[in-house]
Amino acid sequence: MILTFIEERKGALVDTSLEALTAGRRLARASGLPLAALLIGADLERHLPKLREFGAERAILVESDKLRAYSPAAYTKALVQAIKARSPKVVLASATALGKELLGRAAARLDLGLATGCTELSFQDGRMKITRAVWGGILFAEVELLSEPRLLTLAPHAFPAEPEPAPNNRLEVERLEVPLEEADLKLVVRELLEAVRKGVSLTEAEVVVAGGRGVGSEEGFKKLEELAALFGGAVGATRIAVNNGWRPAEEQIGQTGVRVAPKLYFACGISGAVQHMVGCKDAKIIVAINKDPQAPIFARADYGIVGDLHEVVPALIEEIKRLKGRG
Amino acid sequence: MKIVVCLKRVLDTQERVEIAPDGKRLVSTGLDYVMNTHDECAVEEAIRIKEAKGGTVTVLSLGPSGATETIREAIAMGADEGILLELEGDEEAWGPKSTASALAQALKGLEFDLVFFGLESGDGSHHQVGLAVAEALGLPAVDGVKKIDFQDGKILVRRGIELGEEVYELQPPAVLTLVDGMNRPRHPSLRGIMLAKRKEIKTVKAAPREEPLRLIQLRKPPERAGGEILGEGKGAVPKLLEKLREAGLV
Ligand SMILES: Cc1cc2nc3c(=O)[nH]c(=O)nc-3n(C[C@H](O)[C@H](O)[C@H](O)COP(=O)(O)OP(=O)(O)OC[C@H]3O[C@@H](n4cnc5c(N)ncnc54)[C@H](O)[C@@H]3O)c2cc1C
Ligand SMILES: Nc1ncnc2c1ncn2[C@@H]1O[C@H](COP(=O)(O)O)[C@@H](O)[C@H]1O
Repeated sequence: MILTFIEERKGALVDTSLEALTAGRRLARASGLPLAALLIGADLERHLPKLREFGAERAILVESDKLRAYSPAAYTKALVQAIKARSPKVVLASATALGKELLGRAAARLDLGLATGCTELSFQDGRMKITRAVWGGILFAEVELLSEPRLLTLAPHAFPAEPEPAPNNRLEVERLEVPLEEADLKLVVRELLEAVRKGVSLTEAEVVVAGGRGVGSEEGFKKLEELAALFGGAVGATRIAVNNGWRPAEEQIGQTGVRVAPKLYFACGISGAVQHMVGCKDAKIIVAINKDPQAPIFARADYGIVGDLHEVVPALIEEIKRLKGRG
Repeated sequence: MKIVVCLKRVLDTQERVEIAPDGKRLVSTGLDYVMNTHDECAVEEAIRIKEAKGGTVTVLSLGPSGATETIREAIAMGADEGILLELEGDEEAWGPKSTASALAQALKGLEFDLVFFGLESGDGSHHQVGLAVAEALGLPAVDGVKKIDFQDGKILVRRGIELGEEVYELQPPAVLTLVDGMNRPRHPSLRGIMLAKRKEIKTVKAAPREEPLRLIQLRKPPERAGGEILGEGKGAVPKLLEKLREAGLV
């Protein structure tokens, strides 16, 4: 079987788990193996319709009141037990904080290989081809897993989530008892601090205005904020802008920061280093404003303006305001 | 607090990323090695804890003999001791399994309250060595830590998740993997650099085990094609707006 770990947060299935389930379904259909979904937690039955919608043929539920709050050791135990009990050929999870942690621990506990951050999967002549992101996403590696089951985490948004019920639309539900001892529950989440949303979040924004060293100061970013606000967008930064203390670390875009895929990305005073560009390469349109005509960003942007951003950005703001006033 | 930080040296790729003809490594000529960014923050965090609460910081790195330089950088920042697990043979034979086994083995011989890792290595990006070491040592671990607080003898750590942050309360000994951005690593002082130069780095030989994850080949992602330079200075703004209007963005 192909076993997909499905994550639940606050009573709903995590979107990227449905991507993993879709990827699992593709592998299952290509290999003729059944598709199973593993859920760990409490009150899990409410998720069965969604699993059916995405073509799971079996649901394995590990339910306990003790699993209501996330505990790394207890959840690992549940996953390891499910793998031992069902001997799947492949185990998949989305590379969320939780998915990465659980598969990493299970791989160690079962002494199995693990391919993290996978971006492409396929079965060819009975062999599984795996591509994963390495060097923080600036390169891809084609790899092979020599141990079985093959453990994989999938890079979020690398695979689409597409519903497609199983041919006979049947979902068998089975429950797995996992005895939990005190030692398994010693470390539990004590508190969940939800991110306070200041306007639209960077990863969801349709327009991102990013600034780099060329912005020059914390105050310099005020104009970028103003431009972002005109589009209802968000502000991002390069590592240099973050390291200089001009912007918070959460706003760093790139290899060691977040990845964004907005409709429009402004790169202001950004040279366009590969480590930055992996974070924004999926933007529909990139506009670069840089005073150096030789800056590599111009070779990677759709539109470029050569000039001082402290002149160009305010002019852009004025022009948009004027258009809005007229419209 | 006695803290051990596991750190890796990685190629400083910057602008030039070239795959070697064998497809399995990068061309390293002309490139420097640097401390893995997440690990650098882990070193900084350990030193800050030592400065606030006393204790020691030991850095542990697996790599070729050249990795002693990276260990010395950590000592120059303020770490006390360094240990090199000197790998024999080809560095490419080492994957996350071998690395975790060797580090766990070495840690069994050390005294510590906390072991710090980076979230992931800049080259292999496996995100599994720290977790595997925690499993091998049977220690609790929190993955992806952004903040560590000491409160009434307790250790409270926050880790980033998609929704926000999770808070855990920990008892040492424990393993933490730390993320870049949680602090701004210091530059070594001149005195630190002099001190690190003279420091003896303990070296132990290490041999790899079989790796279940095999690299077939590296490849570059397709690059975005360059577009159009619309002009210079603010005079180019109307042209840009025209383009954005065509795309339905304004
Ligand atoms: C392992 C690793 C991970 C990394 N991760 C990341 C990451 O996640 N995100 C990231 O961003 N970087 C990352 N980096 C750093 C990356 O390599 C670059 O150093 C960084 O992105 C450069 O930032 P920058 O463009 O702001 O600065 P610079 O490269 O210094 O470029 C500044 C640009 O601003 C222009 N400029 C200056 N003044 C003006 C002005 N007045 N008007 C217009 N233009 C002006 C200059 O011409 C120049 O092109 C990483 C590096 C490594 C080694
Ligand atoms: N060769 C190594 N020597 C010491 N620590 C390492 C080594 N490789 C990985 N690590 C540690 O494990 C973390 C995760 O690495 P990885 O699992 O390869 O992404 C790194 O941030 C380091 O803290």
